Amino acid sequence: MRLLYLACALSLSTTACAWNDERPIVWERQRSVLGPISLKTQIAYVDSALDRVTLLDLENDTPRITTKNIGRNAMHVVPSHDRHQLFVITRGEEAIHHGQIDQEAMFWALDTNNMQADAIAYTIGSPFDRIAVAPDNTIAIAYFSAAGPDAQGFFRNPNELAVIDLTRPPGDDNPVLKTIRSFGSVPEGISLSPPMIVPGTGTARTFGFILSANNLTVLDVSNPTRREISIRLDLGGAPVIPREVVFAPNTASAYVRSDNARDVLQVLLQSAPATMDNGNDYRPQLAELGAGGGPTDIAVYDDATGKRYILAATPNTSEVVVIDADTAQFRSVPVSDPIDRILLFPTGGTEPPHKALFASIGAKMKRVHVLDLEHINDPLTQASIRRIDLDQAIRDVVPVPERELAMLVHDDNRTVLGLLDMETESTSPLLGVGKLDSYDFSPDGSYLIGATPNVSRVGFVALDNLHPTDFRLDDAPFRVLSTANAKIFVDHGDPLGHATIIPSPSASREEATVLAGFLTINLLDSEP
Amino acid sequence: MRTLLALALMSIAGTAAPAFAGNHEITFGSHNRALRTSSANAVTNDTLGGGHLGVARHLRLDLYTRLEVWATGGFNWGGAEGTLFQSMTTEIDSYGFTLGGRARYTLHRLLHVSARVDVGPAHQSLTIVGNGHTVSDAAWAGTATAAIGVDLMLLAFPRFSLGFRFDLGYVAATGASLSPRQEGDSSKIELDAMQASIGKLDLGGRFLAFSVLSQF
Repeated sequence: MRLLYLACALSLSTTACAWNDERPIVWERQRSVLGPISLKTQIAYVDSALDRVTLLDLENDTPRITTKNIGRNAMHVVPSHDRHQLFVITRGEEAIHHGQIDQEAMFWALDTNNMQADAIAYTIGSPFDRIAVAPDNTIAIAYFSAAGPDAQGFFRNPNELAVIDLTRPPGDDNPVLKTIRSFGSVPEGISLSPPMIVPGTGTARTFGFILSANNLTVLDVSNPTRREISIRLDLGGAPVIPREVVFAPNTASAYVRSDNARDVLQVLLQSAPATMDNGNDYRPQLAELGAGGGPTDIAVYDDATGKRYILAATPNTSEVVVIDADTAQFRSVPVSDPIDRILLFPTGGTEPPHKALFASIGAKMKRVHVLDLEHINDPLTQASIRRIDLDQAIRDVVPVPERELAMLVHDDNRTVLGLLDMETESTSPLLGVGKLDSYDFSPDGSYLIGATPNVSRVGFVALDNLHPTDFRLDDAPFRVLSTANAKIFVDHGDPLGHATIIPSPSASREEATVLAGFLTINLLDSEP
Repeated sequence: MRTLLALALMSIAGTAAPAFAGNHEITFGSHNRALRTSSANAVTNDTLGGGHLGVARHLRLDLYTRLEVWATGGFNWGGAEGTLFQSMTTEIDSYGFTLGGRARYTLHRLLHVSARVDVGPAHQSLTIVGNGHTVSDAAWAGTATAAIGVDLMLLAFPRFSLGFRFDLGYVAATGASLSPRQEGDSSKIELDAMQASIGKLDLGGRFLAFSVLSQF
């Protein structure tokens, strides 16, 4: 009997001591939420700890919340050009502690039009942190940013990239991992062309232009196993860093703007017989336009006949150059100011631009210049460039989509603004109550929508008559977005998810909806 | 734990006392419940610690020699704190009521073993704080408890007895569906909010309870 009593006491003691279990490690992970990202009528958030994408569908009056699972540790996300797809890079995980899993770095493609479909995973193997997507959304390239790969891992290859064919499912040959020649530099960015037909080759292909210091690398991404072609840019002086590429698909050519370059570089792709199996069937032909100055900004547009033009600002020669993309002929227009920003109007939509705005942001000039683009290619027509004087120095210029309007920013805090009407070439001042930390335009360009975290309101300015209104919020805004169906999405910066959805700029408070808790929806019901 | 073992040994070696014969019982003590459901793991690494207060009445059913059947009622409370993804703090609070029965077998006038079953509602609340935002919600859930226990009596007189009770058991709980929301400003007219559910919080798990019991 005494032994029984002692056994009872000991068993109770032992049980009490063995009480604490370890909590699954997934709940101890660091969390970062990427977003909000505006898609067509949806808003996306990517959660690196819950390993999922949360989509808020704002198409109907009642928002719909959907989640799609992705891999471990989301790092980078970009939408497609048409905003119908979302691309995410996840770093993956190494099973070091109990509860962790071995998972490689992956590239995820989500079709936001099809809520039933799961995200498609392409194993990329390396923790890339940048994505370039072709304009037709058929090919994507994952690559490392200038910071290079992170400190995890044994070897690091900053010049590696993954070419993903988005039209094919994942497989052994998709994606294709490739290392490009570097000559000591790492990629600063990648631009993917629209489909271009190299004359004499027959099939339209996408080409990737990889930008790095003193180097431009051309890669046939439609045939990623072929060797890349490297173009040295350095002149022996300061590093020539390519910054921007505009394409002229009609002539299979591209125009490159580079810092410290002496001219605009034209890269014309011409057919050439392949010298080896799986060799390239093209060669880039290089030409400097002879504009005489290193460009600080370039812009591209197609006129009403479909002819492509490129505008380049060359402050070294105090000129703006208008280049016929098909023939490379150009015309110089003298501009006294050091132009470093070119904007075209109207922007977006189907109407071709017929005016160009030139501004000197770096020099903080108190004027801008306007050039008529109609008949600009006619050498017998005098180029009409006009100066518009402003009250204050200009710090930024933002075009209003589908309107011939531009928002001028006169201070770094974005509190002193102006609206430039390109039709009348006149300006109107706008004053904000606080720093315009977040702003957007309605899709038809009829409203400017702004918010600052210090004020629990969203400000609207009707751009037709500059009438200001505002909408009182219940909480401070963090970011404001306008969707394709003209709804205003106000994110309040809550890690659990908190947003106000305003149906339209003219909606009353009764029509608005607050959506809360969407980032942690069903969090308790399943483990990541 | 050493203290508990010493008390157990002392009670075993206790001197003779008159036989106990009380109809009413009051208990007061503490409990510690391991929270290891997946939903509880999401919000805390801690156990649910708290207290309980109970009353019981001897039913005098005389089903078996030395076997006593008691009707029990109780009130319990508890709480736990934790973190979520290292950036958010969480707090769980719970209180509940139980009704049930206990079967108690006398091994010795100073030592009894028992088994009990309880059911009852429990009010569960969850608060999450992150990035300066605080959200909370509460809901009722159902619980069912089964436990075995040992009573060690210090005093056992005909009209009064005093002792300790150790219970080891398991609480099965239905999940309480929660939708944590920010507390509004009642002085202002606020927008209607659509609240997404965070899911069901299940606070079931095994537990260990210690009580001081008194029968009279």
